Amino acid sequence: MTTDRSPVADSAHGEVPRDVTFVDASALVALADRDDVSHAAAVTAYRDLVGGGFRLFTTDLALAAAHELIAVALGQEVARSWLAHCNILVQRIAPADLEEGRRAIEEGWSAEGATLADTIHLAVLDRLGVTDVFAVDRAFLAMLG
Amino acid sequence: MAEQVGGLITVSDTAKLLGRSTEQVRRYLREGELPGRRLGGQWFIDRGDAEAFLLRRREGSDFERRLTYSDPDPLRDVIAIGGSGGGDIAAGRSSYLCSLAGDNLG
Repeated sequence: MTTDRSPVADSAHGEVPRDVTFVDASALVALADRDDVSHAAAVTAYRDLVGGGFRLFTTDLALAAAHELIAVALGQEVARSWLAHCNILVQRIAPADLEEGRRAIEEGWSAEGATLADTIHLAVLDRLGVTDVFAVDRAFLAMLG
Repeated sequence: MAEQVGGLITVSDTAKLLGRSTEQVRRYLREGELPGRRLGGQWFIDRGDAEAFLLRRREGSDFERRLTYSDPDPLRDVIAIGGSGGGDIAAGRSSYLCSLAGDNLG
């Protein structure tokens, strides 16, 4: 459900505190969808993170992906309300993240089954020096190791 | 700022660009945080690499500041905001949408 990718906070990326967690689209959907198989576990994990003082953020890419899934699965009105009340910090994808993500896919050094969104997010995490991830997507979690 | 041939700049110029001491720049070089090359026993840094390093640091600082002032419980109002009837997002986006095909997607 959550994973710590590395114990190192890189000084070149600024002094990003350790208690920061990236929330991916799958976790956003699992929290919103009360009928999802992972909903209860996601809520427990979320409350643990918040209770533990973790600061949460997502990306514009993950936010858009989650909105699309919620719109299809839960309906446009719910998706509109979700977007209006979703108060999570959104970090923009940088051009360099896109380029690195593309290279990972095009040159075949990404994990098997990785999507472009996955590799872009790995680039974002590396750039920001963030090591903790909140996700429920098994393929993405497997990529993180 | 005294630029060298080929867009390379000295440790001193890099320190001015980054707003850091020359010793801190040498530490970034030694630790591989900042790419550089040694010519005649002296470090030189590609100006583009130094500017990219500066941009990364600024973005990191901005990110940290925004995190500090972010909502500590940002998703409280969107938990269980709707129901799919039985999705499984852990299996991936495609599976999640496929699992709904008989319901919401009609």
